Amino acid sequence: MKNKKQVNRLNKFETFVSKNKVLLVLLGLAVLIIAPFVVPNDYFMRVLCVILMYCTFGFGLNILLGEMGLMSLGQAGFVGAGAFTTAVLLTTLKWNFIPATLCGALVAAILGLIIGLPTLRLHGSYLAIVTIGFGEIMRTIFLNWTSVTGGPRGIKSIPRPSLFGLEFNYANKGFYFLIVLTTILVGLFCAALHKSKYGRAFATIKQDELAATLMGIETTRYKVIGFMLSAAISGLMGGYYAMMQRYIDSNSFISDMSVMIVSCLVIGGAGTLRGPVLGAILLVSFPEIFRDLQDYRFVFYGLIMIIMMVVRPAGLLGWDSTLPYQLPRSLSERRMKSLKKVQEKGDTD
Amino acid sequence: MKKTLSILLVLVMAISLVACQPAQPAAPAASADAPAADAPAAAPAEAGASDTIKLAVVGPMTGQDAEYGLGFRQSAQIMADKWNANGGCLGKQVELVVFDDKGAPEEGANVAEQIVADESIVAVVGHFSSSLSMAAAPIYQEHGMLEISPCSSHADYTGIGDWIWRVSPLSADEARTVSKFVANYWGAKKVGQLVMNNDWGADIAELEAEFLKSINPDIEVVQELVVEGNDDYGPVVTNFMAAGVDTVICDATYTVAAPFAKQMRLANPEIRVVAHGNCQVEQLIEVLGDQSNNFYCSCSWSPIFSDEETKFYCEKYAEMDANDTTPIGDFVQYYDTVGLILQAITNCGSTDREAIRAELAKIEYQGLSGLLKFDENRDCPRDYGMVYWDQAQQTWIQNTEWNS
Amino acid sequence: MNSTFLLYIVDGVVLGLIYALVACGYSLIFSILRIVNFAHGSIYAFGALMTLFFINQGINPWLSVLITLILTGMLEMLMDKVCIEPLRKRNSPGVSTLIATEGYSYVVMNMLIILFGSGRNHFETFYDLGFTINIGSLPISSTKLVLLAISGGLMLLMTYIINKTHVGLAIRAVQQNTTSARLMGIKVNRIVLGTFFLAGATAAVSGALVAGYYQICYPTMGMVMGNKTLATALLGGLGAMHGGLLGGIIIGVLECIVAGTLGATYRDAVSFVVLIVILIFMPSGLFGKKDITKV
Repeated sequence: MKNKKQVNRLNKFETFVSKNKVLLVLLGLAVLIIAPFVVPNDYFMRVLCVILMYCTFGFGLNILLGEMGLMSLGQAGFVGAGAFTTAVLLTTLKWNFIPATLCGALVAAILGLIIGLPTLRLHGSYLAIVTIGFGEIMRTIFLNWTSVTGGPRGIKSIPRPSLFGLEFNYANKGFYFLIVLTTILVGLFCAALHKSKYGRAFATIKQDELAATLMGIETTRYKVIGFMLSAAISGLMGGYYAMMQRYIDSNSFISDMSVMIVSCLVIGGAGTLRGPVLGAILLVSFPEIFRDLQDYRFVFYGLIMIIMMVVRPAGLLGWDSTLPYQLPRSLSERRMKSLKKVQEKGDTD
Repeated sequence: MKKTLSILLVLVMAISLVACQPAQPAAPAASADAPAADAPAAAPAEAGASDTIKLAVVGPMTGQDAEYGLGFRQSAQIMADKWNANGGCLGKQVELVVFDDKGAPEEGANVAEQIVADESIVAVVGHFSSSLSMAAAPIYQEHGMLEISPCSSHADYTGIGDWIWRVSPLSADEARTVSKFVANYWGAKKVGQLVMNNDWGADIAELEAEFLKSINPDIEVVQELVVEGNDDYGPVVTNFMAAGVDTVICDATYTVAAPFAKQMRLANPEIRVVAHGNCQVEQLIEVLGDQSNNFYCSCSWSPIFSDEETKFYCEKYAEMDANDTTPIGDFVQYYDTVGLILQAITNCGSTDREAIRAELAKIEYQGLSGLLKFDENRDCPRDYGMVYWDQAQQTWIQNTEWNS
Repeated sequence: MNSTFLLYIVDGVVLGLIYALVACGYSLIFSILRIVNFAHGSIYAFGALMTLFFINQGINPWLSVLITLILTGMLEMLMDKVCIEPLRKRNSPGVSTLIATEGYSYVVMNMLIILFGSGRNHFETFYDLGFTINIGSLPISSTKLVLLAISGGLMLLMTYIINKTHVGLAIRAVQQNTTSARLMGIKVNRIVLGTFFLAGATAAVSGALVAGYYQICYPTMGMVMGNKTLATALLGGLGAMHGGLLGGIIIGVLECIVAGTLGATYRDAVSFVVLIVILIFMPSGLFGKKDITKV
């Protein structure tokens, strides 16, 4: 009943999207599968890959910003950590790409732990600024740890991913589908996380941390876990970023990347999974489409950020995040049952 | 009231921003109305590919390095126009297709994919900074697209593959020139190196240290690594002074070298400062102001050269450029590269990339920046001259005696 | 060695004063609205370039700063009107404000690049009195002294305005409770606008002074400076002016010592390492109020 009332508050477009969720997701999947066979050349494949990457970076940040309301402006640091780890494992140790990217995710997660612990007591703007600092510190490390990251010379000739002698590249569309698969897996993981007890704890922390503590939620633990998961996802995709670019140095992971990730998520709609998808599509393709604007492109980029925030602060597709947390069906049934039991007990008494 | 106030504010800002545009002297970057000059370059390539020879010109046309992109584009255009005026190349008109890589590594690879997708493009002139070139080159190599870079300096750049060539000044050549100059001509005993912490700076500093030691084993070298973006060089200057250096070599772009040299000279005007070809720019002199006398740079080309070709180029550049900037060595590299490719096409009589590549291996082309002849690594080794700024005459002057 | 170290410290103190000067723009706005204005770095660059523009027109440098001060003030007021007030009215989360100010920063900085070009411009030191004092063996130039005087003076002025004047009283009232302030007859919007104007004015003054000190200015000069001064403001405690001064000097001195001993390539990280270490023990900075953490 309550939910119906909430839905009524939404406009026609929002209701349409909310009602046809499954259909739209299927449509999106179909486009993803058909796209590589329709696009005229590798350039479009590359743009699609970049969109999917920023989409995944958005999923990663969503755990912090969307679920817990913690702002991170240093995601490029995690991406870079994953990218450099993967690149080193692929080039010097000649590992296969699967363990290499997983190690990249692990290293990023450890960094998430390291940055998560001391910043637990910080909120809002303070946390945002400290994460900017984290990004800067990571960039300084990438630039100066010459023996590992190549320092100013970077890491070159990073091999494409391959499995059993089969190389995944643009020509056989393998690299694209690899990224599609990874993005979908990460998306599914995030959806499951949202519905799990972690998702509920995150939502409570976002609403009112004090109340969460009083209800017995170990906020410290959940916040650190959130940081680690977010970092791991960014680091995982960072590995793919390295394999796509095939040359990385510290200049690849500057604060512009962090701002871009935040913008993707917030413009699309933080707190939802479709938000970063739309945000990445818009923001990655925008400069490609508007190349003719030349210098004014960045001015328009800024204007769009402002207009979006003023007109639709929850993001284009972010209205779900303004609604109350929806319990998964199994759980709400269980709750109804226990409520009934209590009621019956009361009746018999 | 509130609305009026906001509208008023908007108006004031708009007017003040617009008002200051025309009076700004020598704004070097792509100004809003500049693209009119290069309209033919950006024209779409709809006409049959066989009527024209298409070359891609890539550089940072927008973004932080936009001040270079415009110069690259104009210089390449001057050479293309020159050929077209003389009947074109193989009887066909030369058409430049301009691409903007924004100076961002992701964009470099994006643009490369765009270029290799266009079969009608014969060769690529471009990519400015190393991060971009290194990310883009594997794509060109994979698709057999001929790339000649005018500016990439990364040590492993041409090692990426046999389609990747460059006419960029080699770090080893620049380092050798400056080291000889400092050690032999100035007789320096203790040399400070201001090293910009990027691949170019790190490489060149390492090479210089070796050259200096080989010329005179007694020379002491003090190295200071810096990053761009901080205009305070106090601690670096202090360290150089404490070490008692008599000469400082700036292995950095002018954005770092200019504020550093200013602070260094204010602290101790006796210490001699020398930099590389990329510092021979007007802005450096402008920033140095009254401290600019005798600032030395190595150079492969300078607008003060008196040959006919230089005069032609500078005249054309002045005609084309709306901002009255003076061309720099990096611009000329683009000019030369376009000429080199067109000459190679003429020599082999074909626009087939394999044939052009075979021709490049043996071509000798007299460009503005020296005699271009590729070695087995697809690099163009050259010797360099030295120029210095004379404050009284307000011009660069070539020092011809140092190498004798 | 000893005198080298002293030189680092002198350099560091000057750098710290510069950081503190720029940081007070952040502090002012934070003290009243509890938001961080990410566009401040770009507006600082705007201040420097506009001053240079007026100087190039032949106007007296001090007068140029004064004219620019009004322009930057208006630029900040415009930002409040366009990007922050609509969000404030709707009680949007802080993240929205952050993105909006970041967007504003993009617009200002890229307009500057379009108008002035991305190259470096010379900026004559207009406050060089031409003498140097020697303290022991340390030469202290007049530019350093003027910088110290203006920086300290500005800090004192701001502290005075906030703590001793009626306007300051109103600012503090709005800061504590907007609704009660409104009920008390304070014109909240006017106070907020006024604060933005003040912050803009400090951006112009600091932009012109810093550009003059290093004799260089360019559109992207606010990027690295913006990051470091954010750290400075946070270290001192956002909203605490005197804290900014101490925070600035701590960061400036440590940065110069690191740059001198470890190498200047590490200096960009110093301010943030200091910040993170301090925040572990004092989550609201050196002089920040306890309640600030709950944003």
